[in-house]
Amino acid sequence: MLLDKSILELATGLRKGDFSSVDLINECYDNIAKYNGNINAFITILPRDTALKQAKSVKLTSPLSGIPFVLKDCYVTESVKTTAASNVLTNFIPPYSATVYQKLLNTGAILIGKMNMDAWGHGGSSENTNFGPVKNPWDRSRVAGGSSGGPAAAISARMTVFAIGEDTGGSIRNPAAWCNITGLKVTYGRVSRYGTIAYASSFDSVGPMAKSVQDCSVILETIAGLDPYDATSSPTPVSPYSALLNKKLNDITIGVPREFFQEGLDPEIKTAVLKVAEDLKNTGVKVKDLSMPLFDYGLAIYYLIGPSETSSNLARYDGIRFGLGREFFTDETIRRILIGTYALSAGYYDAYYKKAQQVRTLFIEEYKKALSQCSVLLQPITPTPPPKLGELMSDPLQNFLADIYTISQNPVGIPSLALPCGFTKSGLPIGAQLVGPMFSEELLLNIGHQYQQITDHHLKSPLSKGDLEGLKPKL
Amino acid sequence: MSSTVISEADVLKVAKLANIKLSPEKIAIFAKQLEPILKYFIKLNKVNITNVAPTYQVTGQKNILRQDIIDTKRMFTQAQSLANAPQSKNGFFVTKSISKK
Repeated sequence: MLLDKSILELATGLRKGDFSSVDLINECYDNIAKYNGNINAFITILPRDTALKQAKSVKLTSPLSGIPFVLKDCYVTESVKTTAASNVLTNFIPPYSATVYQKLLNTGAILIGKMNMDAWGHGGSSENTNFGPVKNPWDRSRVAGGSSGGPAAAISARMTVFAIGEDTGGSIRNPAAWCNITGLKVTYGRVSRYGTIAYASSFDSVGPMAKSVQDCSVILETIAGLDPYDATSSPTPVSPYSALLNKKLNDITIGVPREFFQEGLDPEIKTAVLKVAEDLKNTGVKVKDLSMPLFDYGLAIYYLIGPSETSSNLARYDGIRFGLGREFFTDETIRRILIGTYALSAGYYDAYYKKAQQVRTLFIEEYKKALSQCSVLLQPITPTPPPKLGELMSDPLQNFLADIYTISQNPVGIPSLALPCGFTKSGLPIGAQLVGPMFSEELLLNIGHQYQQITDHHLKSPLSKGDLEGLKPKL
Repeated sequence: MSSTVISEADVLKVAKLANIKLSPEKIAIFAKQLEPILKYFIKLNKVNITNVAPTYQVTGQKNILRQDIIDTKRMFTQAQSLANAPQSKNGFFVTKSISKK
């Protein structure tokens, strides 16, 4: 299958004439027809004819030219319905395009779908959506993760080559782990947020999701960079990430913060994540045990600041200029708006919102301290394998606790690379994250790529028997 | 902490501030659900934040300004601006009256 190939293999094949962009597009749409009914990864499938027309006339100017991709449905796309998976925007046709989308269009990449997610990014299972839950391609009775569940499931089931996700508290990494794909939460400001439907503006980050670290590198070097339309985007130069993946790992120390491996972490996940450090020792890195005592406060910081910012961001949805009224928000979104409004209201501002921002300062120091003792940190992504559909929705506080390892980085702004690192005995994917200092994407991708050279977890897909009945990993 | 952090009256007040209409049944449900969440936040009281400045953003950048010129690439026509409005009239958005009749 063409869709098992890496982006660089596809780019080479297109140039050599081994196959065409039309073949690639057709394979995506054939797989969508076969699998999406069972997975529900898409909110909008773009017309096949339109995609084929683009494929026929594409000029091969970049590695992404002629390559099909999908966007989480939180990126505005001119003339293409954009919903944020909420009934509030069920009929919204944006009059402009997000910078990340425009950059991909400029390279000749071809959009084929807008993807299902937790509405407004509010959730970690892609069940808080008005378009029906996304189902995990590895086991359809389980969630795909979230909030970027649609993009992750679509890559896993080979319905697209790559996706752009969005990560506010794990929304790229959590579904990457549960669907066995690779995803990068970039440094805050590395990629423009212009045209992203905001969840929490000081946490939101735009990043690539794909089958491998190498694919993510190729995408990142295309989408990263300063954007005059986003004042928080960074002038830090963009590295040629994909050309630097084979650098030898000299003087690299992986820090293992013990607080991330304590009570509450599934033992199979603990073993698989710690094995990443063992495997990486074979590439010459050192491993160091360390402590981050403030780890436990991350969740409280995140769930005060995130909802506060979202209550402000979602205030604009009034059903007057576009979209429908506020009565169409889901209960999960209303809870977050209520928490945020409460934390920001007179009498509670200092005790909740401001205090969270002060502890955030200490939390940033905690990460600086940890990262001064090592090059990158190794952490789990999820405390459990993907739960059964419906399990996380029954208890809102438990639902928040499921994010405990991935909400930790967004208040700090640092990048994190999600890597497939094995399977449970029952055949469910496990992910690990490598976390580095601000703008250390080059290092994270370098280490991640070297890891994927000595392991093959990321190559396994749920399509072993040619359909989604085959749920065992393809070995 | 055995006392209640958030009452139904608080939920009603906050919902009004957030411009969200809730039925009495929903108010009761949300009050019950938000209670353990807000109690969870109390753990932040254990951290000493004396003389710690809050961090509102992490870019390290300040005063990013743009040129004071009109960017025609980002302008919408009146028709584009109104295209998604549920109701418009004579080139305007239609809203509910905010003054009493």
